[in-house]
Order: sequence, then structure tokens, then C-alpha cells
Amino acid sequence: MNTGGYNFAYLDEQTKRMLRRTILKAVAIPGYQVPFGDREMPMPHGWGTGGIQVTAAIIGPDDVLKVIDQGADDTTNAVSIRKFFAKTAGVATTTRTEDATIVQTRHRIPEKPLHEGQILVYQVPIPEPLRWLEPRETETRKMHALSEYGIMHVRLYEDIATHGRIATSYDYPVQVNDRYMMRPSPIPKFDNPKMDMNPALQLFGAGREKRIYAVPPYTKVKSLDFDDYPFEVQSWDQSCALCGAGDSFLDEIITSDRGDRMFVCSDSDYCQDRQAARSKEAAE
Amino acid sequence: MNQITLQNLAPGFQDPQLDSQLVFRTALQALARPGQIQTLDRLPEPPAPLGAAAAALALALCDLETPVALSEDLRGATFDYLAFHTGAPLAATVGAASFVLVGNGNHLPDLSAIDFGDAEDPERAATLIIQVEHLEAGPGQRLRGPGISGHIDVRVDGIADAFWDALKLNRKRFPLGFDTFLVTGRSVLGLPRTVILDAEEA
Repeated sequence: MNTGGYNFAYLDEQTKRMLRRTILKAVAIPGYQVPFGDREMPMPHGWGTGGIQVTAAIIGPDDVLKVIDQGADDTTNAVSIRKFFAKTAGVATTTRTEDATIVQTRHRIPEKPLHEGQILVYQVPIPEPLRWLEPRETETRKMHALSEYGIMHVRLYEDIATHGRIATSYDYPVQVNDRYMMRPSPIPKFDNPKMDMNPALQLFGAGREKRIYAVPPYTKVKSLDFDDYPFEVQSWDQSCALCGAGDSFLDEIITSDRGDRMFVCSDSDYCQDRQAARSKEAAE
Repeated sequence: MNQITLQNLAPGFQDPQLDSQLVFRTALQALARPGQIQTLDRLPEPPAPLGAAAAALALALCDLETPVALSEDLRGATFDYLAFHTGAPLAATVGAASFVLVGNGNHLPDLSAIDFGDAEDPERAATLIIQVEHLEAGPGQRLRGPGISGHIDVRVDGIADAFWDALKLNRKRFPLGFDTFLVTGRSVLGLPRTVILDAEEA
């Protein structure tokens, strides 16, 4: 196999074994952040080095890789990561969610439901859900050990007291399998319900912060809320201007300097599929 | 450090790089879907009584960072084999091991002496690789928990009843606790610490 002079999937075997052991422990302790030895990658932290290291540890020659950034397959980060693995692992890539065995993502979960056997790899900037409330790692480790999550509920309560509702709209904290509080990475809270009891395996990699965590398939993932202020997701008055979808996460795009705007699906694969289906219908 | 006898040293993976990856993915799938028996495609040829499946997992996951404890029947040839192919040191005690290999599920080491991790580092806990006689989907043990949609039944032959008692205790310790792979032939069954055993027979 020609992998451009690199070891298969870029990382050396010793590093991959370390990552693999970390991933297995992460799966065994759902939602718990397992420390790992972050390696220098040929791109800076903040470009998805955590997700890339997870993907490099799991990927094999028969995998089909899809990479999305904010839902889109055609953005810089997604294109360069896809090319990275095409070059260093010689794997096939795709933009179609249903054809991928591994989907690496920044900030979205695909609209199409994932199926058993697929692996979703999230790029995570800050893995610790309590970090902005308690800056000391020594303290947050204790809080996780004791399941002491009161300060997060206080924060959500303060949102309600100030804004009349929970104002957090992305990176919305969840509790996994009734135990660990977990940060889902900066996905919109619109995507949170998709994490719950998902048939796919979800892996999270934070390179700069050196943490890997996981949600196994068919695992309970609950977005935090209160009985009188239940968790709810965003909704839009519009539907997608390109495909007409009323059930997808929409991006607002400014189209002129007079304030004209349109709303389109953030998931480019979902949107293109729907557009193709619509033009096929129109042709018939 | 013991001298490794190079005579009669059995071969490891045909392709260490890609075989390790495939074996790891099978192990990952086994742990992510407890109770579903997975099949290993790439197997080394270890010296008996170490089986091919246990050897494959050890070769894919162990190295100089992971002290390994071996059950009595696996000392000797097995240790030479693992030491040569992985570089893993022999753990001084069972409690100091990252991986505990058990040659025969009917003769378990003291499962209470294993490292369960601690409250702030539950990931430090050991992984057990236990050889059993037979694995089969169907009535036997009923499992629930993360990775299982509803429940799943699996039959395991050739493991001491004490293992199932230890697994129940293990669950009570969560998030601490050991993670287990049961192996036989080409088959692997993952039992992460999250597994809940249903008391009633399926």
C-alpha cells in the first residue's frame, strides 16, 4: 500500500497502541474523559488534532471516511483532513453519510440517522464541562469522582433568572448513562437528542487538552434541564431555501449589504440529497 | 529479567501494522457492543496453551508500557512469546498489571486483587483476557447496559461461577472496575465494567 512514505495513518505504532488502549477505556467508562499522550500533528491545535488522532488510531484500509466541518463536506478543515487520510492511509473517502464507516466531525451531527457499526469522531476544543465554572483540573477531577455537579445546575438556573430561559444554545451539557457529565463539543443543542441511544459509536478527541471520551451505542445521553424548564431545541420559522427541509439545522447566510438573508441546511450532504430528489421529482 | 529462549519462538502477526488495527477494531466493537460475539480475522500462531484470540489481543494492545500478569499455566513459553513480540514486562503482582491473561477460565486468579482504578483515575483499571471453552449467542447469561439495545443473551462454557459473582460486584463499584474479554477460537466477547447481569436465567 502506498501511503506516501508515512507509516499507515501517519502515527507510529506505539502511539496508536496507546491511543487504542485509551479509546477502549473511554468506551468502558461512558462520558469519562481519559487522559492520553497528545502527539504533535502536522497542523496546529484547534484544527481538530484530537479528532485526527482518534481517527488515525481506529482507521483501517477498508474504512470509508467522511469529514464534516459545521455540517459541510466542502469547507477547508474538512477537505484538508479528508486529504490527509487519503494520503497517509490510502482510504476511500465519501461525502455520503450512509456510505461512511467513520465520520469525523466538527460541530455537527449529520441529519441522516447513523447506523450500527458506524463511528462518529468529534473534534473537541474544551472537553471539561465544568471548566468555565471551576478552572482547576484538580478540583474538576474530584467533582467528577464524587458526581458533584451542582454548580452546573446553578449556572443553568442563573440563565433562567437572567434571561427567563436556559440561554445555552451550543455545547449544551449532558449526563451520560446517569453518571458522568459530558461536554458534547460545540454542536448546536439541536443535535443533542441525536446522541441519546444512537446506534453508532461516538468518540471524542481533544488534542490540546489531551482527553478522549466516548459514548457507546445505545447509551442514555440526557441534556440537563429542570422539571419546569425542560430541555428544548431550536426551531426556525423558515425552511431551507435550497431544498425546503423544515426539519434540519439551518445556517443564516447574508446575501447582500442591504440585509437580505437566506436560511440553508448546514448539513451539505442532506441538502444535496434532498435537492437531487426534488429535481428528479420535477423531471418526472 | 529472564532470558528469552529464541528456539521454537512462534510467529506473531503476518502484518503487524494492519493486523493490529483489525484486531483492535474487533476488540473495540466487542467492548462497544457487550454480549455480541465478534470474530477475529487475523490471528498469530502462539505456543499452547495460549490461544490465537488471546494472543491477537495481547499483540495488538500490549507493549512496554503495560505490565502483564499471566495465570500459572501461561508462564514460560507464553511469557517469552509476549515479551519478544510486544516488549511487555511481567507484572510483579496481579494488582500491578494493566492486562491479566488467564489461560483457563475454570482456574481464575483472585479477582479481588486486580487493579480497579481509583475514583479520580478509573481508567487505570486492568483489562482481563480470559480463555474459555465455548461462546455462543443464546440462553445463558442475560446482559444489559450501555452498548446493548434492551438485553442480550449469551452462553459461556468453561468459566468458573466465581467470575459472574465478581462481575456483579464489579458493577457495584462503577466507575471503578475491570473490563473483560472472553475469548475462544476466533471469537471475542467484550464485557466492559458497565455490564449489568440479570439474575434470572434467560
